[in-house]
Amino acid sequence: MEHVWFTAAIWLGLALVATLLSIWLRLSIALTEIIVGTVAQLVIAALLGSGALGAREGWVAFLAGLGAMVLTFLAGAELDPDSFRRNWKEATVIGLIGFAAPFAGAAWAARALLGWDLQASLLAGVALSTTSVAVVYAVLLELGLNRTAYGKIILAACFINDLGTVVALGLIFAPFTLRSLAFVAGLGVAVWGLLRATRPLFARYGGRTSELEAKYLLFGLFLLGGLAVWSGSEAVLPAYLVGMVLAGVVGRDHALVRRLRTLTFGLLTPFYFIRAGSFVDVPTVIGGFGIFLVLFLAKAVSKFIGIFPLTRRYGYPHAEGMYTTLLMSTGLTFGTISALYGLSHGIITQIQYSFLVATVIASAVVPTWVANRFFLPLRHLPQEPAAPQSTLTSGGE
Amino acid sequence: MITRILIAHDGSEEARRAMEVATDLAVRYKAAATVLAVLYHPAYPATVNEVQAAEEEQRAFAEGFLRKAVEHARLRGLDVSVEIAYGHPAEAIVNYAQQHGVDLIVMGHRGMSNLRRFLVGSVADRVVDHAPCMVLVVRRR
Repeated sequence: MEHVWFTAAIWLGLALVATLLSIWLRLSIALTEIIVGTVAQLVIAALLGSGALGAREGWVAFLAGLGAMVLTFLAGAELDPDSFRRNWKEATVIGLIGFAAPFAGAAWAARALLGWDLQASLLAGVALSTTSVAVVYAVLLELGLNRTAYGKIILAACFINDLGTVVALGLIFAPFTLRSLAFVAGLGVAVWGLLRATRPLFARYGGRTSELEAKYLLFGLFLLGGLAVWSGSEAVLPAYLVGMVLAGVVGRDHALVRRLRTLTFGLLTPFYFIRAGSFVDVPTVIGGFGIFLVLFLAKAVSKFIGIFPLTRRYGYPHAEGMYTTLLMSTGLTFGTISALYGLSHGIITQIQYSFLVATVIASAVVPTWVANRFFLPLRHLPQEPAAPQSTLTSGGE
Repeated sequence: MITRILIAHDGSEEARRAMEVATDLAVRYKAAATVLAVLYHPAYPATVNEVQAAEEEQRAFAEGFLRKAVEHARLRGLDVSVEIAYGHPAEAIVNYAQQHGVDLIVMGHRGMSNLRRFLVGSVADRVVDHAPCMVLVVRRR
């Protein structure tokens, strides 16, 4: 039993290191945990042997899987329903193309240029079809664009893009059987029930130290996750859909979101992201830089081919179209979730996984840098600095 | 002649020392003074919530030390304005100084471990390198 506690101590120790790095480097905790996981695997494997980190142990895999599930739920719950209703047509078109073009492009590149088998190529397509709502939001917020109609359309389109990714991940690799029908029916009933029951239940029994909300949400996620996996699908699909459905209830309850965040970032996601990083084989990525480049360009070029002409069709000026295209070319959370799904289910090898995760991380960094450096949508930028006005008054007042 | 002073504040003890020195200078030269806090959003986040939470936490922290800075100045008979900017601290400080015709930037210097200096560099070093005006760096006692 002490082995479990020592292993847990190692993981939380790594999470602490990642947290300090994220504060010092002003990076997200997700990115630093992936990096720490990658480095830790190298160091610990060299010092103590390849299995010492325990990344493949059942309880570590469970906590990591739960982290991915809750993270996906939170991502779905971040949908702004009002904004989406206002912009749904344009956002849906851009989002669907934003998913479909890179899915096809990356899958084709993996199959035709890299010679990966069909399943692995499709998985590459899914992992590289994503965008990152959170990365895009952070960029827009920095510039004050998140409050503009333009920014809201991009964010809504990102949601649709990721919905495409999650649905593809949940359905493409699932065998279509009676179980699939049972899953779809169960999901439909659950969504209907959640829509009807959640708000009154929270209003009647929520806000207490007994944390009914967290238990209720976890119960629903576990049940639907179990149903999804039983049917051969993936647990993140119902998590994202349930998150979107409950966005109006959960997303606006700041106290509940804060409590879920403590659970998620304090315990679960360290296991998820560090584990995701620990499977990356750095020497392989360095040695096969050309493969990484093919995957990265496949995502970037196919996003461009899909989204840029659309933005022109919607009347965006050139720079704005490029900015939109580049922001929608980002990726992080769902890219790593998809890649880890592929590795866990034997769809891709660890070498392929390493290239995919490296590409996903690069797609979080490079497009945002290029967008902000060369294609700022100046006409939407506030005249004053983006920061909200301070509520403090000057000393003389 | 010093007419506009920018005080870069990050809530640290060194920044509070810089605030005291800057207040004395502003009173002596009858200069206008602005206290600037630079916040950041974590880059490449996993969830929107992570960004919003970071913003809320930093903003609450910044408003706390900015309020104290305003009170400190008021006790010495000085009116100061406060500003919050986002981004890299050195870049935001230098940009503000350029855009507002600042004559003197006053800031604290924390001193850093070699590891932190290697990883993130010194804000004071960068401001001194790129500022369009005089820079007064207040070190630890």
